[in-house]
Formats: sequence, C-alpha cells, structure tokens
Amino acid sequence: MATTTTETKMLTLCTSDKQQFQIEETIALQAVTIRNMVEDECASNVIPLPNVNSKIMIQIIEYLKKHVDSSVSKEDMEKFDSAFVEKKLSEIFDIILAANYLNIKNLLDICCQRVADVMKNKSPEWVRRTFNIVNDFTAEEEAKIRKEHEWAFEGVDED
Amino acid sequence: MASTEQSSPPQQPHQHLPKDIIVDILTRLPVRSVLRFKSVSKSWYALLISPNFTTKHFHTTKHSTPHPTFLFTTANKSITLLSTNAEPSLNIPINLDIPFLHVSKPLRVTGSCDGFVCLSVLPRGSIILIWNPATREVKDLPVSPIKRPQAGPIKVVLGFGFNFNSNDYKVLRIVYYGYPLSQVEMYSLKTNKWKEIKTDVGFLIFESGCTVVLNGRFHWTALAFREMNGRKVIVSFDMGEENFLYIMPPRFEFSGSDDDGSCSDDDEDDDDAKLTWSVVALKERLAVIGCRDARGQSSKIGVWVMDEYGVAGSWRKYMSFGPYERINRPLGCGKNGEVLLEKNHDELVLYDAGSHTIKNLGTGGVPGWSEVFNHEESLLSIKGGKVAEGSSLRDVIPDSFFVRRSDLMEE
Repeated sequence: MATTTTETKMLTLCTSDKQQFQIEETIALQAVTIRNMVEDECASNVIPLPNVNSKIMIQIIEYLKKHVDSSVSKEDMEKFDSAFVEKKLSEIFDIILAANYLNIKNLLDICCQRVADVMKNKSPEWVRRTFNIVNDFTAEEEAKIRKEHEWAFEGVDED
Repeated sequence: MASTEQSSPPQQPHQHLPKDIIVDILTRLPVRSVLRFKSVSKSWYALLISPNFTTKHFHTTKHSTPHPTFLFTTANKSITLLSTNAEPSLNIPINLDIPFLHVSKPLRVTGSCDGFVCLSVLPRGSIILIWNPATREVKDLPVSPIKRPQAGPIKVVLGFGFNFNSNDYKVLRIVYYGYPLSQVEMYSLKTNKWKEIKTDVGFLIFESGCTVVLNGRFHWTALAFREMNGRKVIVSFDMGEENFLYIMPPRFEFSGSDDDGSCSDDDEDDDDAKLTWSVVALKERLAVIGCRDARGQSSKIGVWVMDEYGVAGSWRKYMSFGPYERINRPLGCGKNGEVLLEKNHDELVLYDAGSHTIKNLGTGGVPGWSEVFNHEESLLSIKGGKVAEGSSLRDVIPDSFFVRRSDLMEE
C-alpha cells in the first residue's frame, strides 16, 4: 500500500525480552493477531508480544516489510521467500511458532514447506532427533513396519 | 542445496511444535516420505494412517506436485515410478502373493487414478485388481454375472478412472470375441458390481489399458470398421452417458508452422506409412503426439491439441520439434506439457516445451508391451480393500472364463 499524505501511523511492538520495535501500522497489521488487538482496541500504544523474542521479531519484520510492498513482482516475491527460508531448522521452528502465534498465514506456509523439503529424504532416526520424539516401538515392531515399505527407504540421505 | 548446517538437528531442545503444525508439515511430504516416517513412533504411525490425514495429504500434494510422475510395468514383476525431477526413479515390487499367480503370467498395469493402480493379467484380464502400492491395500474385482457366449475371448480392453458425477471409481471392460461379437461391461467400486452395457462395438482398440482419462471419458486409439473403412481414429467412452464416440485425429502436417528454419520440401506429409501417433492428455485437453520418420533414422515429432473437446475442427498444432535421432515411439505427456519419448528402445528422454530442450532421464526403456501412465501417488484407502499380507490374498481367484492355457506359463 502506498503511503498517504497523512502522517504514517506507527505501532510499537514489545517482544518477550522487552525490546521495542516501532513499525508502520500497515506492515504490522498483516499479522492477524496484531490486527485483532488493534481493532478490539485492547492495545494502547505498545503491543506486548510475550511469545516472540527480538531475534525472531527482526526476521518477521523483514518478511512483513517485503510483503506489504505491492510493487514487488510475484516472481521477485517468490525469490525473496525462498531465500528467506534458507535458515537453520531451529530458527525455522522458532519462526513457525511466532508466525503461528501472530497468525501470518503465508509465512507459516513457506516455513512449513521448508521443513517438509528438508525432511523429505531423511531417516526416521533424524526425524526423532529433530522433533524430540521418543521411539516407543519395540525393535520387532519397527522392523515389521519398515519391511512393509522397504522401497520407501531407498535413496535416504545420510544422517 | 541444503548445507549440512541446515540439515543438522537443532543443537538444543526447543519448544515442541504444536500438533496441527506437525500435521501441516507432514501433509506436504511425498508419499514415500510419509511411509518411511510411519516407523518414527506409535503416535506418528496412528496419525499417518488416519483417514483425516490421508485425505488432507491427498488434497495438499495433488495441487503442489509440480513434476509429473510416470508409471509403467517393469519386466521384473514390479512397477516403475519415473520421476521427471531430481528425485530418483523408484521400482516398487508388486508384492501380491496370489496363488493363481504362481502358475500364471504376472500382473500388469492397465490404469492409474488417484494413487490407485489397476492391475490385470493380460491379454484377457483373468484377474483384475485395484491396488494402492503406498497403503498395500488391494481389492479384487468380483466375477461378472454377465452371460458369456460359446466363443472364447480374443482380446480384452480395460479402462480405469473416476467418475465425478457419481463420485465413484469405475472399471470398463470390453471383451472381443470373433468379429463382430463383443461385450461391454462396467464395474462400480461403490456398489462392487458389474453391469452390462448394451452397445455396438464397431472398432478394434489397440491398447489393453487406458492411459487417457479426461472429462469422465476414456480414450484409446482404434481401427474403426464399416462406414469408417478401417481408419485409425480415437475412440472415447463416457462413464456417465455410457456410450462410445469417435473422434477424428488431426491432419498431420509436420511442415508449415514449423519454426525450425528447415526448408525441406515436405512432400511426405501424407505418407501414413511413416507416421505413428498416439492419443494423450495434455494440460487437461485431448491431444495427440505424432512421430514421423524423416530421412535416415531421425524423426520429427508434433503435438496437436483439441481446443474444444469433441470438435474435430478445433485441432491445433501445439508444437513440433526434431528431427531427433533414433526416437522409436512417443510415450506420453506430463502435466506441464512435457513429452516423454523412447529412444533406441532402451532410453527415455523428456522434451521440455518451455525450454525447447531434450533431456535424457538416465533410465532404461519401457517394455514394448507396457503402456505408460501418468501417476499421482496417494495414501487413500480403497473401498472394500484389504491389506495384502500373509494369507489375505488366498481367496483371490481368477475368472475361469478368461483363463487360457497360454496364460499359465511364466514369461
């Protein structure tokens, strides 16, 4: 959206580590949670976001700033998105949690897709470590399930 | 692409992702990854086989898989899933321990729809199965109650597809006896019943299965008799209307709108002897791929699409390319308009219309008797299907009317 002649309205976001971020309202309102807070007038000048730390907030603001710009072509936006998700999985997980809390659907989408792309050729062992899952199968049960789809284990990445 | 740093798990325990986010991520995975991750834990196993998940997974991946996957039978009692992107191709064994198959020829693919594969013992279809290799579910079609003539069947043609109007999977069977005797019947997965269709079959279909299912209709190439005078045409069957229609192929002109700059005087255009063509689906439209021998061992390839379904006047030349050396047959089209060709009888190449490039898929050829199907993998469950394991397939028996002595030999 183009800036109007009137003064640009700013919002202040306060992260879990008590950092304050001043950003244009049009940028912040892409997050449905923030929009609801503003519309319900629950928020005064400062919007508290206790579930998001400043490190993640900086990245989310970077994303929102790009996506509010209607002059960016679809192709460039896709390029931006694919570069944006080139991060460590732990960081992607943190962004997912924040995007889920802030309700930014397309950000959540590209991050979930990124996780799927990274994990698709991985082993079950890698998945357990990455998602903190305890293997509760007995060795026999696991062997039986694996045998049912031996072909699905071809071409799996080395851990 | 992914650096080792990105691939390695997070160093410290982090907050758990909420369950709906995990489900969202898992619905984006290819079928083979989902199958692999069934062994992660009991709760993942339960999630990944639940109908809610498999339906959601089907709708998510159906629209987001950009690259076509082709499916064909391999000589080694397996099916090959040929990926056209960077994924390696996959051989999936047809692991169906049916007693009859110990003495009969192996099963072959005759159709593919929503991840379900229609398998049959050809050429007569003594056993017809619907099988999902991903869920290992299989459903054997019951014996048809239709009254058979004295004569023995010569050839059987099958079609397998989904009819949106009745929300039902159908199998069509055309049985040829001595000309002009034939029978047509259709099976409904919903009712698990065969029904005879009284109709006239004045044509002989070349294929055994059906690779082109569009607008609720099956399509094959056939020789049409009587008033059609033995012409090669396209025959369609409408699953809703339950009738056959002829569709005339386009006029195959390989020169003219060609932009390859060659100025050969193409006086061979009407020489049918040097032309092979097959019917395909291209971006949800009916199309044909023509392959014409040029001089020597090279062939020119043309693709025509029918802009308005069923209107012969709407055939339009879509593209042409070549000549390429040693192309022996066109095999099919991918969903983005790629053309799959067989070269030298033992190599598969893919022509990309966008970049005008031809790429070797680095895989062997397709057995001459196998048709090539577009395939979308799914985790969907087959109504009335059972998981193929242990003795569950012991009661799958052939329709004895379609068993002939020459089927009872290994190939």
